[in-house]
Amino acid sequence: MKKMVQQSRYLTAILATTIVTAGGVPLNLSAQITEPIRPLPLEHKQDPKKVALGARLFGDVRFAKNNDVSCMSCHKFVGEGGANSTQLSIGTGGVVGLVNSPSVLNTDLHIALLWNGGAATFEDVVNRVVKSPTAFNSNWPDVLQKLRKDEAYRNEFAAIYNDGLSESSVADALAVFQRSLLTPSRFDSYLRGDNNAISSDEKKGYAKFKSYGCIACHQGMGVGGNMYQQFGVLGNYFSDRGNISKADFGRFNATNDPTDKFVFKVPSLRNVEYTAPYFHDGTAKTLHNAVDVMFKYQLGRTAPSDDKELIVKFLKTLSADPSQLKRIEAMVKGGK
Amino acid sequence: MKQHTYFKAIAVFALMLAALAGFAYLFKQSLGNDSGEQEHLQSSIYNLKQVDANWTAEVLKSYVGISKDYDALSKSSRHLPQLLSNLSVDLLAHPNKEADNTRSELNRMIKEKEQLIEKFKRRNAVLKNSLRYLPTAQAEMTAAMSNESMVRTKQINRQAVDQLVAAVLHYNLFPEEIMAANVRMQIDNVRNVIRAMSPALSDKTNNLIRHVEVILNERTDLAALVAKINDIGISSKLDALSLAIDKTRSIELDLHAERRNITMLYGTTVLFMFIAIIIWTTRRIVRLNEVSYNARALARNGTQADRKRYGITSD
Repeated sequence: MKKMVQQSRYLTAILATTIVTAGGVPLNLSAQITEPIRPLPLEHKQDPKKVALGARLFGDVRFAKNNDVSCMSCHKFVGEGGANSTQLSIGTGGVVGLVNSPSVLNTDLHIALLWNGGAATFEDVVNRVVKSPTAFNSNWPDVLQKLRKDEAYRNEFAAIYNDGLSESSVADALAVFQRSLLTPSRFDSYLRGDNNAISSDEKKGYAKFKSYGCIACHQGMGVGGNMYQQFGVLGNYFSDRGNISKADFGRFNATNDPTDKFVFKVPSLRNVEYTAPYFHDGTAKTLHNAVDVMFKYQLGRTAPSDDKELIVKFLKTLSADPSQLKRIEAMVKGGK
Repeated sequence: MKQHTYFKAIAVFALMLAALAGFAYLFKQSLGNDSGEQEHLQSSIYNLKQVDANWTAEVLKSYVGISKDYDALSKSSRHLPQLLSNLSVDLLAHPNKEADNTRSELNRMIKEKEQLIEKFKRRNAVLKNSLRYLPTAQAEMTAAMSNESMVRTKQINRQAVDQLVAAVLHYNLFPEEIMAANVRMQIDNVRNVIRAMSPALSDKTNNLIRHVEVILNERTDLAALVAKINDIGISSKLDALSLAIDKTRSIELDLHAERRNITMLYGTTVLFMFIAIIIWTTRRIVRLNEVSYNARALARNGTQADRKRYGITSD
């Protein structure tokens, strides 16, 4: 009998330890199970050597036809959350792109990449960006020729990849780097059980975010990014804005399905504090503007400004620690 | 005489070598039967079925509101095509037209299901948003109505709104035509009383009607969409693929058994041939030894005439 009690105590202790310290941090299981937003993993599982190499490539201007822009020109980290503060992206030779640069942070959680979900993998995106006339406007033979002149690259690629510096290894290194860009926030600490990680106003903002229905699309680990939605569910955003362009057709451009017209990937709201201007057309200059547009066209309702303010406060809890963004940018700038 | 024996020995040796090579070839052919590979294929199909079942279950969980996010659905959307692609690579080792056709069909079905699920997520979010708005709208309107001066009007308005909300919630539970007709009737009822409302209240009421109409449209469509997703028979197609693989496997096993029998027959024949050659060679050696012995004896003991007769020239 005594032995049985001892055994059950032992098992309880193991179970309690497992529950409380899963992942090396206290874990609030009820939060994990019941909340529509789930915490990010605390660290990525990518090969650090490939990440470092990919980071250098991310900041390398030799991808561009005119050696004037790099990936980081449109996806800056410090203060811009992996996106860019210009309304539309700017490619090599100053060519203005068709859409606002989306953030590259936490994109490994997304269902697909680009605003219209037209790229299934990071490798696909790299391939498109290299060739796109509004991005690098180049081609692989030229890019590889330029990169191979760099002895450090040659040596590093040879050490990591069997095929050395090649189209697939360059795309892979860039993909691995982007997969590593997970940015846990204060809100994740809250979800993991740290009740003091966010203020009471921020908690109220989260409650409003759910009760007003924002959560219907912005849910999951990425707080968005895992589904598509029509822009203008309860109002015609595009006719109100005018000047409809091909880019406004969104997912239709990727699928040719007429029901996908004006449908876009729901953007992740992680780091949204830093990623102004907002939407694929970059028309919302501030987070408050963006929230207003969402209330009008997506939720089809109005809300008192106090409630919107609380929602904005909550959204800011999804921001990465600035020191992490500095570290990422330093890693990218460590290259040429 | 000696040269003739030499060529005969080479011929026998070559024959033995050819017989052995033939045996080795047949033996190798009869070994070409990897049950581990077969188990791996069936296990891949089982995994695909499992992921597909989870995919469908997640749709249903989201539909009834148990799952609150679409991460699991998105994960399956990425995982399933990858698993099928891996299976396709494995199937290359087992060419089978029926399995190839089933695989192509599966590819198409997975794409179709993925598209339907994306539509489901979209429409489910819209429906949930409008449903979530109903109590808020009702509360907001009740609050706004409290400012109306006419008590009787206030009562009529409130009753109309309450009945509309109740009707649409009822319809959400039982999306049948009779319920839909009731909702439409309540919408008309509310529209009739809007005229007597203040502009602010009228705006709120119109907005409520907009959301009710969304529910009216989305609820039935969503149910049909879920049924359509459920009807995509990926699982039965996988069963068909599994059967096709089993069929190929059965043919392979029959062929293997046939090859094994041939190998055994051939092996036995070769063995008998070897034994015959060994017996023949042994007898020949014994006979040659006897001749040599007799010759030596004759040389030792025979007369000059015997030696001459048997052609023995030396002493």
